[in-house]
Amino acid sequence: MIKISDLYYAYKVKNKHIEALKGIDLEIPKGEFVVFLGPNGSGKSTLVKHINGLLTPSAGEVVVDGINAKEDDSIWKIRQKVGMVFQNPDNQIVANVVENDIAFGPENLGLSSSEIKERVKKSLSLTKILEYSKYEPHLLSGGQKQLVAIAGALAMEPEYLILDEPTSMLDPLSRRKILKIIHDLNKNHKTTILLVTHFTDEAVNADRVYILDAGRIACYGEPRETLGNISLLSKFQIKPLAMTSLAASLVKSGIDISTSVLTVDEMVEELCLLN
Amino acid sequence: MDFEGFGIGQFYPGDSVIHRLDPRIKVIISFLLAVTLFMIKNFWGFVGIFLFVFFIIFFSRLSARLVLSGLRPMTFILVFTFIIHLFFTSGTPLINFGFLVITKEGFVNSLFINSRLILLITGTSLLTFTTAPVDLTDGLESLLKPLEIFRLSSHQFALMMTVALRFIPVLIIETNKIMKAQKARGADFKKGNLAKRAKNYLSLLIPLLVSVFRRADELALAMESRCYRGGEGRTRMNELKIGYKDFYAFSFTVLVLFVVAIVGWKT
Ligand SMILES: Nc1ncnc2c1ncn2[C@@H]1O[C@H](COP(=O)(O)OP(=O)(O)OP(=O)(O)O)[C@@H](O)[C@H]1O
Ligand SMILES: [Mg+2]
Repeated sequence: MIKISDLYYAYKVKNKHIEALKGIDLEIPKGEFVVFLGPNGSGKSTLVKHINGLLTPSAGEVVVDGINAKEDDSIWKIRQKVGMVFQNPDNQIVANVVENDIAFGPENLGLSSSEIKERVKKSLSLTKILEYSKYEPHLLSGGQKQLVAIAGALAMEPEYLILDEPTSMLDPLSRRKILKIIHDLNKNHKTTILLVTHFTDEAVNADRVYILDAGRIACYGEPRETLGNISLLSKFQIKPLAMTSLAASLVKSGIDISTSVLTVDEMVEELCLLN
Repeated sequence: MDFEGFGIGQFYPGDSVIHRLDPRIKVIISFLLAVTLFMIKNFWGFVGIFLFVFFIIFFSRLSARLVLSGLRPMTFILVFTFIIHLFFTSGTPLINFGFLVITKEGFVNSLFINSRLILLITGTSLLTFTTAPVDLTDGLESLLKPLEIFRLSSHQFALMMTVALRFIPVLIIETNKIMKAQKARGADFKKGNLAKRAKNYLSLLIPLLVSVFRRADELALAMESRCYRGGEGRTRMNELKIGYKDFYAFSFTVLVLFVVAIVGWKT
């Protein structure tokens, strides 16, 4: 479980303090699929960087499975538990051959050569890029590179996987592929997923959605409670789902259906119920 | 004009004996070859090295033409040194063009110097032709380990090489992109006087530098996230092991180069 209590963080830039987080409290149980939404600069990246110890709190606590990231020794335990994938795949691939890059994490853990090879193979097959194991990263597409980055994080066998806008540089097809892979990880391997995104549709199948605004958690709840609430979303400049907008317009023109419709299937169901 | 990659670290994958040798042995062989080349001083010495290099090319199953194509970027230097030595060595005149004189010593001298350069380039380029950059990095890391007594970290050196190999193509692509963007805004990288062209290149350099620093920042975060904390306690996926064939290759090289050095010693 990830437990964050009263977390404050300020960036120091030339004697100035930029308060990025202003009192965050949250609890993420193991096995959940959690999505963070929020406008630019709301503090999403700053928040998730605390969970694997890339940033240390100005005040407050971050505890992962009972380990506090503040203590020096524990930071390596936490980084092993919490994998991290960033937005730009080009800047997180270290080695010039795919399989060597995926081995980078396990090598840092000091594992034996045979164990490393096993983990590399497993991560390659989880992300479905086995055939690219000998490729040089610059010959891959953006989507494939992001899969390499995910495989690199998975090779650490993390229990939690944080993805900070992993799909924002990719085309729709690669985006769907990556989303499917992280949902599979969540379902079949019980990996807890923390996904930061600007795409509302990526949050539909989440267990919980957090909306951040100006360094605070503005609201949270199941997708229906958050994404289905158009007035709430517009307050934080989050683009509502197509079907939710449609439902809202229909209601406005006098058709009596639920406004918290999220998917096409639900919309069909609602419309069929009309007669 | 596009900014194109230089052929550093050019590697031709294969499954020959030479390809499969331990990278450390190949580095040492290349080094010994270079040293011997600078020791020999007569015709038979060069013949010996030529046969040795030819022998390696043969067993690496690379085409001789491919190996020789590595010399192309050096053509100018080769021709230049040849001419300089041909005309500016004093001795017995051979051919006389009025004020320019080709001497017998000059002719021999320039032949020897060019042979030395050509054999040096082809001989050492065989190292990168037959060794994957990853293996070469691992090999150098292992060979430079002893430098740790001088507090130089062979691990850091190897990591620097890896990251450089990883990012050179990325930065070449990025340079091309910025160049196109600047061209679309009217910059011309070919015309204009020197000052103007320098200014245009500066407009290329600054965005590139900004991007490099941003990338370095993000890469550092990504490496830390994957538990990187320097070379200590780190293991490798591919462990290097010296086998019988490495031992044979090494012994054979030492023997051949020793004989060549002795034969080629006399002027
Ligand atoms: N390295 C930094 N130095 C100084 N200020 C920073 C730094 N990184 C972020 N900030 C500031 O902290 C605040 C929160 O930024 P953060 O990157 O966490 O937002 P975000 O929600 O991830 O935004 P985005 O959606 O654009 O990724 C912003 O006001 C930002 O300007
Ligand atoms: Mg962010």
